Amino acid sequence: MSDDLSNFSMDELFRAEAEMQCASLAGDLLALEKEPNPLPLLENLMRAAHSLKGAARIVGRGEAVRVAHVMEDCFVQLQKKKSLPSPETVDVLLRGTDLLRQLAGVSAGTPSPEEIEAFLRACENPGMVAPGARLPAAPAEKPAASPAAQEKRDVRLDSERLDSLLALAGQAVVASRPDGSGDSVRAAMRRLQSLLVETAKTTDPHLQSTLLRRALVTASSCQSTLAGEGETRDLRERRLAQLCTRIYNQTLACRLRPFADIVPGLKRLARDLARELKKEITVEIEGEATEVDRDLLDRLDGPLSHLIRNSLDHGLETPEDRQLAGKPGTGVLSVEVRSQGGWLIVRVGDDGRGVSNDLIRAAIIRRSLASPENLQQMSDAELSEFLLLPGFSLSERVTEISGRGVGLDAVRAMVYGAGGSLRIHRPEGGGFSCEMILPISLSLIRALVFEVAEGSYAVPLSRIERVVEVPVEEVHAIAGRQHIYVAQERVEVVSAAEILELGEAPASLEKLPILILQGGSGKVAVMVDRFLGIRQLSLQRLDPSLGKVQDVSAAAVLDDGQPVVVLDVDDLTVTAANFSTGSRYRPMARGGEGAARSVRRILVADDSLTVRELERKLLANHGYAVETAVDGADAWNSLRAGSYDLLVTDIDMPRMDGIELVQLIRADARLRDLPVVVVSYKDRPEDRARGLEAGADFYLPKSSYEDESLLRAARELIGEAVPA
Amino acid sequence: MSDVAPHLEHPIPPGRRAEWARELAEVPPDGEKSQHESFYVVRVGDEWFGLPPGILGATLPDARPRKIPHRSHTLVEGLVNWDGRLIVCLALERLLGVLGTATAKDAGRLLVVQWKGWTGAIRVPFVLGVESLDLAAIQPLPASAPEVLARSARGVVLYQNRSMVCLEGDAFVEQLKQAVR
Repeated sequence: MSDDLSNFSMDELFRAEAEMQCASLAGDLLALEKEPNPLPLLENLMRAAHSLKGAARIVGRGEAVRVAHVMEDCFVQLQKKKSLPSPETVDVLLRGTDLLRQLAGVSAGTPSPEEIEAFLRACENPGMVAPGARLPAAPAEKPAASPAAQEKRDVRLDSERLDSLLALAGQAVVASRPDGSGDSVRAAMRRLQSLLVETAKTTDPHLQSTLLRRALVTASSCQSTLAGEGETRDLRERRLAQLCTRIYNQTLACRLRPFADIVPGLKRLARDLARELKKEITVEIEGEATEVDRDLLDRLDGPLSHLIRNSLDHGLETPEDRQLAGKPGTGVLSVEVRSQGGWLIVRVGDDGRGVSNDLIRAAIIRRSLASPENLQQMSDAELSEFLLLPGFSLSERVTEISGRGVGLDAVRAMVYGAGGSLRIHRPEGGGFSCEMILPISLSLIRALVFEVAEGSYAVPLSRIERVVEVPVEEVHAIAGRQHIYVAQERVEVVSAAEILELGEAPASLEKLPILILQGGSGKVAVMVDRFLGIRQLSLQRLDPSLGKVQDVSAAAVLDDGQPVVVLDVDDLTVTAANFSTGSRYRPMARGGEGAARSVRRILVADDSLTVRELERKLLANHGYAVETAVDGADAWNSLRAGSYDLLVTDIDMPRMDGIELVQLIRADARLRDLPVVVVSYKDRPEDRARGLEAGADFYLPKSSYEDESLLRAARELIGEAVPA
Repeated sequence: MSDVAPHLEHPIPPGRRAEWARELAEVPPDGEKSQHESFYVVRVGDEWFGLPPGILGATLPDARPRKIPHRSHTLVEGLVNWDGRLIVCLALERLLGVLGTATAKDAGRLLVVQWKGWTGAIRVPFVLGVESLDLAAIQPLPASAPEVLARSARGVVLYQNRSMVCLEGDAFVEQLKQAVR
């Protein structure tokens, strides 16, 4: 092992080893199914299981020893019989790698003793595992969604990279040491001083003039020494700056991982789904060696799974259907990754039935999103755009694999969030592919930095539509709101200081610096205090314990050491739109809460932007004043700071879940009587009981905003929006 | 060196050796065991607090935190830069429920709190320094003390004629952590 692991504890070492061996076990197991000569792979598998068994024994993990041992036995038996394992056996063995990952702490969860026993039994006779004896499906490894979950991670570097970084850092230390320059100047200055003292002491004019001449010579030599040293210092500074840049670039490169790291997971997902759906597929992966930013790779996991699920569920046909259509029975799912001109391009495609224009048109008409006349004039690309709308689905059928309309809108959100774009290809003769075009690094961006309420804030350049400075007289007040015209289009102006709750908008300027941003919900013009310029920013994640902060995506340090907060454009456009409809109302921003409150106020807490907005709009459309919170802790803060008539909350939220939130409310002297409606995906009787026990007044399923039940609950609890 | 510290070369006064030996040999009277502990003493508003020095990772010149959108009315004051790393800075006055912020110019410090894997910052308007406080006569906090203080203080001691609230490391950091949420 070439990596420097000397600082790892035994447990960490075991975890690192388990991660590596399990990846190789899973990879080889998947390859085994397609391999004509299984013997070399079986040898690898046997060795991996054997090593893991040894490692588990060293750290005293008895259960992991047993699991690895039966797996090793399995491979030995297969080797002896020179036979391929049945797909069921591969399922069982893959389940074994999942167990090992959990036991080693590589993935979340602790397997129960029964699960382990079931696995051991299933492995007893690998050649004759009955098809009916399939184990419960492996729990899908949850994509680490919340940043809090990945607060601390081990990062493995190859030793060469670390050595070269260390060498560079060492060079920088050496180069920054004082090199004794200045010593000779200081000595000359001392000499000069003593010459002048002597001159002052003597009264002999002849001696005085000799001493002064010597002083002059010393002074001029001093000057030339200084000039020479200045040159050396400049050189040194340049060298230091170069070294720092190289250290920075190499450290950045440490953040890169080959795409191959997530390939086994994708192959496994495709295989499991194909088996479940009784489809036959080959997975073709291109560009496994492409290096991708660590964070980007983590974020790619979700969208890639969505695309693969979609392809397998909706795109690729069953072998029978394929043969009827004159295609080979085995479908092809291809994933291609390449970097091109500073962009990373990830394409997922299949040779399935594809998505025809007629299919999309029918779905659009079913949802009355456009008139049939308009539809006929739409281009292929325009029709494709509909596929990216939230909740848009081609089939009415809800499946376990790809849900209802879930997928492309989530993929789009991730790609746009990362500053990239999305392209859909729908060739005439069938097949479907989706191309994500992403920036190579998520951590280094070019951004426009500006001042708001005496602090600096930034927006990625890629997300700015245009930047304008508008003379005050070109701002039009219409119905109490300010508007400007940008290329003949009327856009409402909001003040960044106000919508971000950072303080007051600046006193009137002659020219207003304005950012035009394009978000999902239209164009907005955000007025700032002053533009500071374009900077390259190295992004840092915000402290995860802050949770999701609305309108913020990251932070960075400016050249002068000042922090700068990087804003989230998608959030910002939504916030701006809500602000302008007046539904967002914070007592802080608008001078106290005592003022006659005529409208009932509702706080909506949900970690999903979509659900949050749906609920907000539904309630706001019926006249309620609605504010939103991004999770339980945010809601708790808002509830304590403001005054509300009703809380609508989700259960599963990061930082503080709905149950804890309701318990806190019921224990608080001021908030004890606040009516609470829980809206949750969890709809089993025991979940409802838990929610109601905690003190919720209503417990509704998430579909409730599709019908009237959420509204009914609100009316029942607090009456109409404007009390009679 | 001899001209730098000539007093070091003075002869020891007669009887000093014997006196010293007596001092060292003296057994402190029973029950009066020294209960001195070091605290990093700061003033917040008009009140004095002793922080356990162990929880401090660094002290930096005061800096104005960058406000985080939508959080300015919470206990989070913003982000500060500590050696290139952006950490959360908490509003100590608000957290401790202290009134009146008498901020002396240039006397303020930014304290980086690092404790059991948690890192954050607090700003204090004035720092006295690390002082040794005698906890033998520690008094409980008045019953009217804010809840956060009641949870994180060990008690009040009198030092240089000032009342100082001595904070307990774990409990204080726990309150800071809660304040971030």
